[in-house]
Amino acid sequence: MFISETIQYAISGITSGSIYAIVGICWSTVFLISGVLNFSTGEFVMLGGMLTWLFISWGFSLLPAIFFGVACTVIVAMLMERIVIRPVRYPSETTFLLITTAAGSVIRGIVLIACGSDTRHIEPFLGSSPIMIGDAVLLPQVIIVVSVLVLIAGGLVMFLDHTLFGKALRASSINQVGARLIGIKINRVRLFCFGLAGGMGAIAGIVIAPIEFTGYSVGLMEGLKGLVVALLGGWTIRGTVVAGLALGLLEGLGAGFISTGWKDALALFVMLTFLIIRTLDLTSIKKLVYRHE
Amino acid sequence: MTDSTYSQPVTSRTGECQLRIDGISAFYGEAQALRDVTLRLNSQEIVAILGSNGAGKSTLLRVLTGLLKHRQGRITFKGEDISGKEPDAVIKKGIASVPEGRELFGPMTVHDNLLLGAYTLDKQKRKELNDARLKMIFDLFPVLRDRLGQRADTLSGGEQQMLALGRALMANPVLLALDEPSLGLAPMMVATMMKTLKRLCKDYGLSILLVEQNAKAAIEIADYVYILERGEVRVEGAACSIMDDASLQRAYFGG
Repeated sequence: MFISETIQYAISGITSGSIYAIVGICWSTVFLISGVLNFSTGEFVMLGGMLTWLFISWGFSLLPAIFFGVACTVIVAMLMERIVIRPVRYPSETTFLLITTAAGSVIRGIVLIACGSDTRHIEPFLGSSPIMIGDAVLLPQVIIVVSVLVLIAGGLVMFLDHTLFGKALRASSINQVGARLIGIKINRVRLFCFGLAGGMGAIAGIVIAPIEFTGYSVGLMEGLKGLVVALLGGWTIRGTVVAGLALGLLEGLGAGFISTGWKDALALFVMLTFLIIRTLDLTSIKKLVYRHE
Repeated sequence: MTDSTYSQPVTSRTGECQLRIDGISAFYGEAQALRDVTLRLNSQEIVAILGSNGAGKSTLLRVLTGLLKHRQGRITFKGEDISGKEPDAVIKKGIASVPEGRELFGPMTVHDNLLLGAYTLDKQKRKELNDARLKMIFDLFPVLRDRLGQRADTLSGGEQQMLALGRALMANPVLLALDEPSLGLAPMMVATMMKTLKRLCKDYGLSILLVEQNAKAAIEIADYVYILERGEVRVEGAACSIMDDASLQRAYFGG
């Protein structure tokens, strides 16, 4: 009984953890290229789910609805870079934080007005007949969520390591002046990365919608947790995947064995602890410890 | 200290004019960094731009490569106006640069750094040229072949300078613009670097615009020299005539 309960909690943890990991990758895609902490990353997740629901409610079948949902979110993300981010004349982290937070509210507000405040649901892609692992239930949709994470993370690693354009993206995130001098158009690279983040976020929002519902406000928490795992993972793809799954498991097991109310608090507690530890200067602590030697 | 502008009639230079910089003025905010700078470079010529720190040498290269917008003046390359163009357009015209501080991609491998140098070439051209270019670079700098899989930031200063030059050569340029390639190198290494530049000009037909603070090393390989002072061209002349001028020797070469 205890074992199958644990498996059940772990399954739900890995499910939401996969989404956190994808959202974390969206944060780093934008941040590493443009230095912008994009606080509307979560809204891309929400837009993906809500737009797909909208297209389905207009009578589209699943695949075209997903396609248009992702495409529209990519367009929104790119428009955001072009209209809201690029014209900023005196860029600073605070400016971008305020601007992207505001842009997020606008997107949320528009969706609220257009689609209402009800939570929405997309039918599971492969039906809802569960696969049993002992007494634990594994929904086919969970398998889709995890494979999407594998595809996105794996595909991105392949793209960045083995194509010239991928290498150019890495080069731009390492050294912008060097990148411009070898002829990389930094503005286009930024635009591409916003679009890429929008697309990946939207896919995350679509595949999770049949399990966790979607609605105009789901982006807030998903976005914040994505930031937590991007920070924990050191802004790398591998690190973010590990951190995402770890945070998901921690939440799943914590919610199961302690209480559901602790779920979000646990994630934020992890983030705060990490940020506090990171701001401590390790060398000065060492000096304190070894002072008498 | 001489105040008279020393100049050699321009007609004495052979070769066709490739790069012409006409009356360039540039500013950082309100501070004027370049004042009406005019210079020319003929094909297969090495032109050295000398001067002390803050004379405007690097600014001139930043304007040429498109990193900094100038306020007045015109840059013509092979008869085409390229003033105010973005860096990617400039490099596509055939001007590659080895910037101040090298600006390599440290965490990436030497091989990736080199491959990225050919970023602006189209796919077809890359396929045709990459292998030959790599061979030429390994011929010039055999050590890079051994370091191919290593991270660029694990190289020594001299090797990094070779890599920066190699990366620029990958773009298949007509003109190389170098900003203080001797900076931070051991004297032996400086001599090798200068010899390589001479070879690139002689054997491979490149034109070279060489910004240097190490005047002695630069003037030995240069055909023509411009000396900048506070953003203006103070002196210009054929390298040999500048070397022979005793007052200039005192003022700029410390003896």
